[in-house]
Amino acid sequence: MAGDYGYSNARIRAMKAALLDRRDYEALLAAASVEALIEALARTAYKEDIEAALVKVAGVPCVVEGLRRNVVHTVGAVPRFFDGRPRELVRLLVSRWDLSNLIAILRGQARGVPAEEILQALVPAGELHEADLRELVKQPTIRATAELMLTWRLPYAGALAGALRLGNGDLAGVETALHKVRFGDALASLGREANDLLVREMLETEIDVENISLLLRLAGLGDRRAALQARYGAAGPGALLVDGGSLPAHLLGQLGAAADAEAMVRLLQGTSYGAALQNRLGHYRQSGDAGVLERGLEEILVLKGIRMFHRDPLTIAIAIGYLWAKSNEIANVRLIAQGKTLGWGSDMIREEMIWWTRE
Amino acid sequence: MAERVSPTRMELQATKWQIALAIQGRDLLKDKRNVLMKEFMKVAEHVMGRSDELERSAASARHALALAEALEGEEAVRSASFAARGEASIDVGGGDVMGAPAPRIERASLSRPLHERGYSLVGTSAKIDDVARRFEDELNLVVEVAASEARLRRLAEEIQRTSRRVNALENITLPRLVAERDTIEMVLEERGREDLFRLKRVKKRLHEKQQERA
Repeated sequence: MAGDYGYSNARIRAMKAALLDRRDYEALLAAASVEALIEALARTAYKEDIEAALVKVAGVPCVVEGLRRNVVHTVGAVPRFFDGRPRELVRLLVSRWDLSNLIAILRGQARGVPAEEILQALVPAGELHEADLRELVKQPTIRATAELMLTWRLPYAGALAGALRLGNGDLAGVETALHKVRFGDALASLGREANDLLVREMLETEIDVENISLLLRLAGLGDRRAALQARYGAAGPGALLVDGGSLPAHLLGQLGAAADAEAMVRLLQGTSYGAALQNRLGHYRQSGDAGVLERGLEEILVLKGIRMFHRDPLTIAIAIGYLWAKSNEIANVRLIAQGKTLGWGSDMIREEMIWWTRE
Repeated sequence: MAERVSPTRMELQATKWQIALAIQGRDLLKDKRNVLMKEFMKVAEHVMGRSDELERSAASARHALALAEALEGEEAVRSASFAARGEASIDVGGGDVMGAPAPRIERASLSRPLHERGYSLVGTSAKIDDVARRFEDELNLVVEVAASEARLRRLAEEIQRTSRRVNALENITLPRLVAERDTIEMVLEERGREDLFRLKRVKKRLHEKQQERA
């Protein structure tokens, strides 16, 4: 195991050292404006990407473009550090970027969005490179995209063709099917080996968060049963739930039948999600915004991913930790930039951030 | 103009009738203008209120968008916006404001439930739902304000047109008719005096002839 991961994890630990530390964050939070934030970012590991972005745009779009460039070459580099089975496992972890890109392309093509605009919604940090994505975006229809993906044997090609065959032009249904395939195929490919179990643990948490979040959002739907019956042909949310999470089916059934979000939170007491949701219930009661509870679930997922750094250093755990730490850092910097434009104080931005910094 | 009028009693009757009609028309138009003004003020107050609400709604939508872009990433929000993209149709029919034609915009709600926005509920988030909902609310207000503004514009045009007609009646038609009436009356009085004088002369001549015969 050490032979597979020792060298690769050393490379990742070197990248971890470039993550923002507390002092960097304090400097970013103290910036008086977006321009000052850009200057502060240019003094961190984001220097090259921010400078490249500054040539094209200014203000928040510069930060967004800089972060996008950064995630492409940092996250995109991780699979290249590995070979064989470890690389396959890392691919399972970065496949969410491929799926997001593919879905953005399908949505754009379905609605006749210009290719240049679709490209702005892509982050080529997964297996699908920018050249592949550009070629896919050029296709005139979703069917042509699926055919090209089959020809090139790209990830999700079979799943997309299958979903298109079964679907009746319902793009949301195709999206749901693709998400299920991503999780289903990934879980099916995992064995009982320690690294496989670590990846499985993260995927199961991702599925739980996805399912609970979905049920919380549906709780706000007026006359839920009739609406679901009309839209999905079943009064329950079963057709939307992703299989393979750690929550038992009977609990998901109870959550689906719960009267409201508060009842769901009560049902989740005793699970690893109960306490975080309970803590945010007061804020939810005030705002009525399911996003408040959803953010609590995201926090659990992100921190669980990042805490993988503390697991066995000669396993896939380090790659998992880095990928989640990097995603969280990108989200935090974006939040600081948007917070500055919205006139938020540092404390308010801090409240919205999921705090983790390298020691 | 008054010189071209036939100075007859029939013409005098007709002119007097026209003056009465013009006064009646002017008063009716003044009443209509007052009602239009009241309606204008009511609609203007409504538009001002809804415009303030629209500004608040737009600010709230922009705030939700910025927050979603921060938490989910601009790419994810942009991608969801592709799926939610579509045509928003509103019915524009013919209506009238105090008898004046005005477009009537049907205020069908453009809001959609979260499972009808085109994107899958798997892989998206409540923050994206929130952005979509707030922009749909803003769009509903835009349509409502547009409908009220169209009504307001039509009312303003109608008030202007009515005022022009009142002014025309007061400053042109009525003075002309009064002048015509006065001229006819003057000519008729003059003619009456001439007839009286002539009759007196004839009567005097007849009296003189009777005296000569006697």
